[in-house]
Amino acid sequence: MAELVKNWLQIVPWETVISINAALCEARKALHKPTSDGYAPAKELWEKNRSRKLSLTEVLQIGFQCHRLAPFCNYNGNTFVTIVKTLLDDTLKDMPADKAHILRSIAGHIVAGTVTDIERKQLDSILAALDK
Amino acid sequence: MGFVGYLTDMTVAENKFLKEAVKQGLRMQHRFLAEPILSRTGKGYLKSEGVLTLQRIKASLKKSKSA
Repeated sequence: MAELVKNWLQIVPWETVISINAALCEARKALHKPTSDGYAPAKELWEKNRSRKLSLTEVLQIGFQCHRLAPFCNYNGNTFVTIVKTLLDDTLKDMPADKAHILRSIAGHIVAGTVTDIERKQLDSILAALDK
Repeated sequence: MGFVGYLTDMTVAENKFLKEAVKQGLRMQHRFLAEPILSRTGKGYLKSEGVLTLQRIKASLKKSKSA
């Protein structure tokens, strides 16, 4: 499936990442503020990859790394999981709904840092089937 | 580019993405904790969605196949 390698992050400038986190924090009255140690490296990682063609696996890895760097004081997990899931919406619209749901779910677990080995294998087999 | 510049220079696709992402994020916010667990412990947190959604999707697929 050729469309799984593309400029995934092109429509997500870093300012959009900030806006999403701000909206999520506001909804729960949580502090929306950049962190002193994680913000700069996460922004750099994001911007460096924005113009690059990436595989789905790479996008998930970048989402996970940014989540781990914790650029914001609160809701880093929801911010990056949401971004990855929304990016996938358009790409998976032609896939059977149950398979698309499973793939989105596993993608979310990878970025959230809660993925299991079984899910990783499941993702590999779904991606391998898409490549055929 | 400042933040105001970003808002005025946003493309239609970027704007659509932002709206959809915020909607999606708010919908699943109850599954996350606010604090940065992953960066502190190396293990993230995400409350399970359960199997109901997938069951509902499969049921509707079955229904549309049999129709």
